[in-house]
Amino acid sequence: MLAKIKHIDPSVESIITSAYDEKKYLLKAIKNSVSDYMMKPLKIDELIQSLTKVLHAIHNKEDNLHFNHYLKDMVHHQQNLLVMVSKGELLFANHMFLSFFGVKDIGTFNDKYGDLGRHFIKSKGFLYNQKDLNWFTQVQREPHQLFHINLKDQEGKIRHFILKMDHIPEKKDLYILSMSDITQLNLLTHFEDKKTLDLKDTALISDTILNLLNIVLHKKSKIKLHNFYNGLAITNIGYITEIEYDKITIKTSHNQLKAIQFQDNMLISGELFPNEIFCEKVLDINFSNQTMQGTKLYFLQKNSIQRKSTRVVPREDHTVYLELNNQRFQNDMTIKDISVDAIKIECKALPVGLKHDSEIIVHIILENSKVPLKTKITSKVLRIDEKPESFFVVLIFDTLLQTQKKILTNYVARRQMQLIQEFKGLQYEPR
Amino acid sequence: MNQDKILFDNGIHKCIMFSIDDESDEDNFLAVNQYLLIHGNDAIVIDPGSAAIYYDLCEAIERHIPIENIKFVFFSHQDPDVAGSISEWSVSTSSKFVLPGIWQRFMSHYGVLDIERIFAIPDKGTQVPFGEGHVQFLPAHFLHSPGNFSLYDSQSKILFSGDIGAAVVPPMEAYKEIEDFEQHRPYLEGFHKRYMASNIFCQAWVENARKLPVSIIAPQHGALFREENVTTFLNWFETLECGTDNIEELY
Repeated sequence: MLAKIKHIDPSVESIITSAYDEKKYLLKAIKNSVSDYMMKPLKIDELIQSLTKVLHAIHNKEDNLHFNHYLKDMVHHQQNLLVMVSKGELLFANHMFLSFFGVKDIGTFNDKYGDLGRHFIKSKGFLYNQKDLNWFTQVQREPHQLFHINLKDQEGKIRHFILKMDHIPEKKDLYILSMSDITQLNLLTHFEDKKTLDLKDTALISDTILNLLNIVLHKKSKIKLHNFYNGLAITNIGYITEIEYDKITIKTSHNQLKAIQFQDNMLISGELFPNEIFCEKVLDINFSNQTMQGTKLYFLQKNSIQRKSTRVVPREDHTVYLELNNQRFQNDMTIKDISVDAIKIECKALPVGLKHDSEIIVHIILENSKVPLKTKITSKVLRIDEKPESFFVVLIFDTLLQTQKKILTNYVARRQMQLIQEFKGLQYEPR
Repeated sequence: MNQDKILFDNGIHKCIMFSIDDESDEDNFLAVNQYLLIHGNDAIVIDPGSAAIYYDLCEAIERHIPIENIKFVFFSHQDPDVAGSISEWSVSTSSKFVLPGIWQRFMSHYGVLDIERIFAIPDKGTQVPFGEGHVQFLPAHFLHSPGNFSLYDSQSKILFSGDIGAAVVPPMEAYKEIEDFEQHRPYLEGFHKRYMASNIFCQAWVENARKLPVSIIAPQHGALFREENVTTFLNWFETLECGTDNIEELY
C-alpha cells in the first residue's frame, strides 16, 4: 500500500505500525522511504515522539519549498540580469536575462545564441572574447573584479552593463553572473576617449561618480587608492563600506591611511571608472577601524597615476643650475622631483631665452652618500608652469650616457629606499 | 662565468642565460643564473638577483634588448638573491613585477610600496600570453620557499625551476650543462635534502612538470638539464627524501 501511496504522491510522509518484525517487511518499508517503523503494541510516548519527528520533517520540507520559491521569485524580480554558470555554460537565468534576449528559457538561449561571450561587443577597456582567451577564462582569472560589457538589446541598441561573477561556496565550478545596466550613466563614449568627459556639468558628474561608487559598494568590489609621499607612489587596495549623500567611507591598509593623512587627499581608481576620481577633502581617519571618510569627489581630466618612471623628491642638500646658450643660471633653483628620464625644477625667475623645446644643460649635484653625485645632462624643456611666485620647469633628458644612467638609477633607487624608511617612521595622529 | 648562453633562438623568440655571480667566497660558491626571454620587442627577466649584480645584468641584457622593453620581471620567490634588486628595476623600467601573492606585502622592505607595479600570482598559479604562446607559473611552494613558482615558456619549452635543480659545484669544476647525471647528483643532494620541505611537495611539482613538454630545466643555481636528463632529474626529485622526511636530523 505504501508503494501505491508513494506512487501517487512521493512527498507523503508515513509511519508504519506493525506486529511483524521480520527483516523482509522492514527492508520493503525502507525501500519505500518510510519515515518510521514502529512495533506493536505501541507505546504512547514513542508514538508521540515519532509523530513529532515526522511533523518536523513535513514543516522543514514546506519551509524549504517556500524558501526556494521566494529565492526564485527574488532572482526573477531582480533588476539585474542573473545567470548561473558552470564551465562557461549557462544553466539557469532570471526573467530579466531571458526577457533581454527574447527567449523563454535558458535552453532556448543556448540553442539560439550559443556562447554568451560572442555577443559582448568589442570595445576598448571592455570584456569580450579575445583571440586566444575567451571571456569566461578572463573573468575566472580575476575573481571579484568588475567588468564592463556592451550588449545589443532586442532593438539593436547598445546597452552598457557591469558584470561580476561570484563563485557559489562549496559548489565546484558553479558561479553566479550578475549584469547591472548602467546605460543611463552615459559613460560609453568616455571610455573610448577619456577627454570627452565633460567636467563642467558638476551636478551630473557628481551623480555619476556616486552611482558608480554605489555599484562598487553593492558588488563588494575593490578600488585602488593612490597617494604620493615626496614623489614615492603609495598604492593599496580599498573597499567602500558606506556612502552617505556625498560622503564616502573606505577601508584600507594602515600604510595607505598614513599616506592619506600626510597628503590630506587621495586618488581613487577602479575598473569601473572612466577617469581617476580625486577625493579633495578628508573628513576623518580612523586607524583602529582602518577606515577613512572623504568628500568632494570629482573626475580628473588628466591621468596622474600612471608615471613612466619612478620620481622622487631629493633631499634638501642638493644643487642644480642651468646652462643655456653658454650662460649659467643658478640662483634660487631647487629640484622638485627627479627620475631617470626627467627633472622638475622650481625657479624664482626664468632664465632669459628659456622656452618650450629649448635645449639646455642641467647640472645636478646630489648629496646622497659620502661622495656627492655630480652630473650634467643635455635636456629639452617639456613644460613651463607659471605659479604666483615662481616657475616650474620640466626638463626631459636627452639620451643619457651609461654612466649617467647608472648615477641616476642608483640615486633614485637609494632615495626611494630612504623615503620608504622615512614614511614607515611617520607617526599617525588621531584627528 | 660571465658569458651569455643562448638557450633558444628561432629568430623571433629567444632565451638567454646569464651567469653573473655576486658571491666572491670561492669556498662556498653557489653559481647564480639569470634568464632573459625575448619575443620581438618584449622581454621578461627571470630571477634577476641582488642589487649587487644589477648593473652587470642590465649591461648584459642591453646586449640583446633595451631594458625599457622589459614587460615583466619575474621573481620566483622572496629571497634577496632573487628579488633584492626590485627597487632598481622599479626605477629603471616601467615593467610589472610578477611574484607569488603571499610575498606582495613584503616588497615594501625591498623598496616598492605601489601595488600597481605588482602582479601577484595566486597560489595555484596562472598563465599569461607572451608572444605567440604563453608563460605559465607552476606552483612550487615549499621548494624551498612557502610561496614559490617555476616559470614555463611554451615556445622554447624551457622550465625555469628556480631553486629546484640547484647544485653547489666547486668553482674549479663549474659547468653549464649536465652531461652525466650520476656525476652531478652529489652536487644536488646536499642542497635539496636540506632546503626542500618534504617529498610530498616534490611529488606534486613533478606531477605538474610531467604534464608539460619540457626540453630544458633551467635552475637558478648550477647547470642545465637537457633532453633525457630532464626525465632523469624528475625521477630523482620525485623520490627525494628531504625536509620533514629527515626531521630527526633537524630536531
